[in-house]
Amino acid sequence: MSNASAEFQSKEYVAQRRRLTWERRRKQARKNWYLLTRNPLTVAGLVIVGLLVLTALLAPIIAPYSPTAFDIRDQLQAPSTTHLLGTDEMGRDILSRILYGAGISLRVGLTAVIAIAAIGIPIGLIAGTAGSKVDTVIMRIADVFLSFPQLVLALAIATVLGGGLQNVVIALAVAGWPWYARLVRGMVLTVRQETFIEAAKVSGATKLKTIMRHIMPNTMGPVIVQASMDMGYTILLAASLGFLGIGVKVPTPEWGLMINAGRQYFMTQWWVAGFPGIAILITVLGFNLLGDGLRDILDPRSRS
Amino acid sequence: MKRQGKLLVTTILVVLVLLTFGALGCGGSTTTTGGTDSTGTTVSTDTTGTTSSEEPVTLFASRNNDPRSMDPADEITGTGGLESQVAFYERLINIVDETGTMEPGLAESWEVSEDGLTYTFELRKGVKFHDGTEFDAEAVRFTWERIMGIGTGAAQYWQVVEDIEIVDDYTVDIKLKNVSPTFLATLGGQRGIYMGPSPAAVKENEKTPGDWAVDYFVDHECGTGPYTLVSWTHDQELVYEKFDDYWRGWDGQHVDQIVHRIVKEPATIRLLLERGEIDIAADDLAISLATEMEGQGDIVLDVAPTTMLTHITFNLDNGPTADVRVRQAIAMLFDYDAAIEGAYRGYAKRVYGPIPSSVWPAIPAEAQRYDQNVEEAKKLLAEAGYADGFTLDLACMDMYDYKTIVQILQQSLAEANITVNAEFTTWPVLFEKLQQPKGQKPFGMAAYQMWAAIPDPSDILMWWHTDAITVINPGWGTPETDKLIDDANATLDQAERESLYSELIVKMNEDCPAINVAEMQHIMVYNDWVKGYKYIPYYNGLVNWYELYIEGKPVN
Amino acid sequence: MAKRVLQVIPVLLGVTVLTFAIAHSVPGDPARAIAGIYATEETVEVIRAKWGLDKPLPEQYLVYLGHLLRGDLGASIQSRRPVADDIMDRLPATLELSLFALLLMVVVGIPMGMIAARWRNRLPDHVARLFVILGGAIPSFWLALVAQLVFFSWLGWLPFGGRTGAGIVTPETVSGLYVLDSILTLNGTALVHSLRQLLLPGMVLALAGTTSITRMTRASMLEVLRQDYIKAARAKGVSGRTIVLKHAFKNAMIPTITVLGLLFGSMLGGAFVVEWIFAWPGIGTLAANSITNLDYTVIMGISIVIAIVYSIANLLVDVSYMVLNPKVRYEK
Repeated sequence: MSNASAEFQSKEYVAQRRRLTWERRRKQARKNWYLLTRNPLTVAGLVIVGLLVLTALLAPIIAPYSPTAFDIRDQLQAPSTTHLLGTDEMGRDILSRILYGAGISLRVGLTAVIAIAAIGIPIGLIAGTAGSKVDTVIMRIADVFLSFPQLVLALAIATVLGGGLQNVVIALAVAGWPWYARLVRGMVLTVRQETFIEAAKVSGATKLKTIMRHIMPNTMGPVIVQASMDMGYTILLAASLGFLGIGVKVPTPEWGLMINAGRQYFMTQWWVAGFPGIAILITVLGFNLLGDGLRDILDPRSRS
Repeated sequence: MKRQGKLLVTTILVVLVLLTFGALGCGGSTTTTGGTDSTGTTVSTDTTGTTSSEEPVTLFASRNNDPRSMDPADEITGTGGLESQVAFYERLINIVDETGTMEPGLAESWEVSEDGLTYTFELRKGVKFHDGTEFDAEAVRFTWERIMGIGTGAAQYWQVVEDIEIVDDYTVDIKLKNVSPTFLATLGGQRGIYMGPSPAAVKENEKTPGDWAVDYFVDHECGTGPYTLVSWTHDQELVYEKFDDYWRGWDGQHVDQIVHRIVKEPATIRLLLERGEIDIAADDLAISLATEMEGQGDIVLDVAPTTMLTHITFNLDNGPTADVRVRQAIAMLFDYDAAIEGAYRGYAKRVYGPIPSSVWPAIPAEAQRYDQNVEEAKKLLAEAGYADGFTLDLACMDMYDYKTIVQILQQSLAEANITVNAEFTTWPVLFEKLQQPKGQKPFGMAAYQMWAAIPDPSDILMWWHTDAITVINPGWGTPETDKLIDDANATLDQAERESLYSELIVKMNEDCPAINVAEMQHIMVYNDWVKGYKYIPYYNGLVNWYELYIEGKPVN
Repeated sequence: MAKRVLQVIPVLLGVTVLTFAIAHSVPGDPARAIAGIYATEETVEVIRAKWGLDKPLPEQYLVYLGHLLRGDLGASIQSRRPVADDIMDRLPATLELSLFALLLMVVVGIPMGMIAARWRNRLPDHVARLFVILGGAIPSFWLALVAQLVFFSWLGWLPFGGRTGAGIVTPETVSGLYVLDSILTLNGTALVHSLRQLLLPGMVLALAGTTSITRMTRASMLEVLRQDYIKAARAKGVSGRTIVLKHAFKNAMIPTITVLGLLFGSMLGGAFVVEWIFAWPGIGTLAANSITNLDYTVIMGISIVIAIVYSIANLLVDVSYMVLNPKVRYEK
């Protein structure tokens, strides 16, 4: 795509190349859409994620009750016509809490993944392009972080920072960046072998330009795939932190926290912890399906 | 054929695996129920008892966490190990009912000198430690020396003791530095005053001379109590067996062996109780859970009054709560009824002062009382200049029913635009916040419990002395109020003490340094075949294992 | 390869620094935590001095490192026993659980993946893929609760958790892994009992990994089956079974083995939650307790042990990768 060398600079040539590039991109987009929608599972994922986003945005409108208001005398009621999914231990409506919780989970997942990528990608790029000494140091540091199970590290950091949404995101970012750094670094090293990079170097492109125009676009594919697949896992991790009591603060309607609160009643009033668990299940499912579908497009090797 | 062969092999494997799971599963239920089956673990079931050839009776109890240490000189908190220690070690004096009646324990009788500085104890004869050695005056003095030598947990309960003199083999004189109206009650109290380990056992297990064998007694014991520690598998279980030479003897109905299963999940404890795999839940369960269990299976609840109250203290120096009107307003915003009904399921009462009704004196009639009155509260807030509300940080323990209370507080205060940010932490973390010096407490409000471990109001009210500001006092007190507390602690005259404490309470209520949420009742959950349980408020959480017995348990 | 092994050392050093920093940043005063609520300030100070908690942090770290290099993990502040003892008490339990889960993953996941690849787009494949999709999305802590509810509360087939205790027969200790020990000491009852206790926590722990392995196996089998050399073998008339077992299997296993190493690590994390819910007396429970009690030495000890186990697992994976596929250029 960007094999153009600096030599052919005439205006007509450049314009024609641009047109061809755009046409190619449109065709590619159409092909991608076809691929995306061909698989019913991916469509299901798309629908789920779409519904989730809608729910998050529309929660204040569609939720029948406030997610935090309660009358303690209504506690632990079974699902009924007044409370479709029942009430929790404080008497709050579970359906409303789940609807509001969608927004929280999405927000945490998105910010965490963005933060992880924002930290991991540049570090990976640097490691891959800055020479072997820097590479070794960075990779050793990454290994230190990778020596811990992700959940444990995130838990430790979240405990130190105290609870709260922000700190959960920070904890997830600190625990997750090494994976991206490693991934990007690996891709960079591979791409660097490619001949078109040699060609670009020969033609005099600066290092930064090489990175931006040649290396980055070719490594982004797997990274985006990884990110979309990780949304589900990140949301799961955040819910785990909530379940362990280190997440957002009471009375925020976070799904993991709801399971934690409903834990002791689970054997009899199963709905308090049951429905939030199903909500997490569906959410992660949706993102996983979507991620799988995206991978089919962007990484043709894994297409079955 | 070959292709299908691979599939066949795999299918057979899978089926075999499933069958194995099923077989294992179905064979499961019989051996894990309670009863007399105690095979397999490293327990020496050596019941060379004086009892008849009956099967040893085992009691199964559940515990919420793994204890830390069995050494009564070092570990003095309930969940840290005190609950276990009480089966192995004994006190000189025992409190036997909720009014604080004291009965002879290891001491048969006692006398106080005229000047109140010497307490003479006649010790019980014929009491043996678990290693066979005799309990005598030497043992009492040695216990005291060891406690002071180790210098942690239990030492503070003996601060008032100047010396312990051995008069003869079974008589000691405990000399005090100053008069202490609470000394006897302390000796009969919950912490720090257990006799043992035996001097011989300590000397035998010292690693270096003079180290008091602290390492050894973390997971070993040598007391005079009814049971011995047979095994302790961390995070799994503890096993006790009866001490045949126990001085009270084993006539009557008792339990020969006690197995404590450590189960952290409350829901699991509930199931185990309902199925009869556990006989009694030895550690406190959340009231909401306990009330759910009433009537399920053979479960009964033992409800008894406590000497506990829950309160939420204020930061008295910084922020809006430094203004007494704000504090009073908050005390009038709180929905006490919701807390009592919701958090305590009705198993609590309103408390109108810093001490519960089970502790003397009664809250004086002239002391200010606070009930929910939203209008009045809003007026006060407006007067103080906070009509638009404000935000507060609340520090709280992640325990029991605090979450419910705190959320009720949040909702109550939201009526007046006051936002409460709650931070639930472990007790050490909360405690650290409480310990900060005056003017530097890092919270707007803090929620925790107060309770009297001895039948004396000083056990609660002494924490409102300014000396305690770096412990748990949120910053309240003046030299005048300090004097009230000090004076009450320096005289043995009951009437005088009552009047001093009453005066203190009136001043406190006026100043409103805390919202007094409720005084709780204690609920003990067990199956109806467990008999002999009695809750003593001053021993909150400590079960008298010797008095329990099993009757009418269905045989499985 | 030697270079790869040597890389482990600076990493472990970094682990100690990171853990030390984190452990000492957890809010709370450990001296107070030991002394308890009712202790006086003087008592707390005594305790603080005794454990060297009053020295500046860098000094504490160096002291710790010094001990560490001599093989001394220190003593637990809470239990006073050597940390190494505390950890060795519980490590076998976690190892057994993790290995059991790993075994389940392999025994269930690989055949499932292979069957799915073999009958691509037909019923077995759809079942397998459904399993993968759902299994990968279930929160493990929720699943643990549900599993307890179903198998313990409703069906009564399996115990709620725990590893030892009244009514459970355990074998003589040889390795600390009860299943292994039961086999070694030919103790049938112990074998049945230990498997029964392992089942529920093991299944819950194994789920996430099983889905990964199934997916991985299926994908790489499909990939390999498409290769030219497979087509050539088919054309030559080699039977399907031989194709699968001889040619395809080995090459398909390479990515799977890589994943296994990663999974072992993530299982140590998952074991944390599973141990808690099933009262499994492993390192996870010890870690949780020591965080609550601010028992620094234990926290450090556990982290280092986990890091070592993890590093070894990764090392083994990398090495076997290099052995299986000599074409891999490892470091330039």
